[in-house]
Amino acid sequence: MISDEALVEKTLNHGSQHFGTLVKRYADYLFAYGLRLTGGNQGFAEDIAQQSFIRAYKYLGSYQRQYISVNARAEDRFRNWLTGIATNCFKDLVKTEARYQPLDSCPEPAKDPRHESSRDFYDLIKPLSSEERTLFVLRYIYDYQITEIAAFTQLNAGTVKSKISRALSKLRDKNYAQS
Amino acid sequence: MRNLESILNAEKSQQHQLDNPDLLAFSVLTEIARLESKARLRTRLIAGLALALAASAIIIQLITLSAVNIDLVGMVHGLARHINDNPFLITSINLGLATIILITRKQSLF
Repeated sequence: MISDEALVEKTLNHGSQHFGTLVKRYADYLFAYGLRLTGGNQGFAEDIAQQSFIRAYKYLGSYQRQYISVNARAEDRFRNWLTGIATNCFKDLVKTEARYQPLDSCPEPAKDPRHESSRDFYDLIKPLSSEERTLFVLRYIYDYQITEIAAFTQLNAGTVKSKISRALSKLRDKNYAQS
Repeated sequence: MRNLESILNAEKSQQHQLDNPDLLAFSVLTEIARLESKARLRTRLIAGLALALAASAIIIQLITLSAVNIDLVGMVHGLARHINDNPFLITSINLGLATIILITRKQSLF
């Protein structure tokens, strides 16, 4: 299988047709990430995936210049870079689009029976703000390190740590209250 | 209610898949092509305006030079005399404008 770096190189040198392979390779990953951030809203998750890929294409040159030197496993580099872009896309969409309201203040998001098995998780993260949800998902679902999350969200590591711990205690309190 | 850890573990092992990744790839590539063609059009528009400006400048110079023997009033006469008195200056300006036009054509910007 052709590596991500080679596909990036080909895209930069020979045009956007090679980018399609990268899109197909990471489509499910970004869609799942979007679903978890939006609490199971398929339409919003697809928007996040699409916008993230478009933004990734725009900044592909900077990936080659900067991210190549980041100390991460080669096979994770592009995925991590995309995760950072998707995180910022979600943040921007929350700011600009009225339909991305906090989960607990908007009506039930569009439900898809195929994602019903995650319903417990979506209910769990409902009380979290969009920022807390992002940090929580990155830390506890994708197991990213605090320093990596800090880089994705452009916050400092201390702030990330305290926000995650606040989110966690909010969820534990809610969980104990309900059980 | 299941406890927090078991919910997180269940979600971690959950696979979420798009119905049609090909459709997403198609829509992303189409949008990229649209944005690129928009950017190309904008560049061509700017180049076109610069070209039109350069061409207008040359035409105005020619008109002004041909009017040097006619007793025109005020600014036109002064400008014509100034251009006539500085042939090297006007030649270099013309050379610059012609170079802009040639580069624009060579780069297929317009």
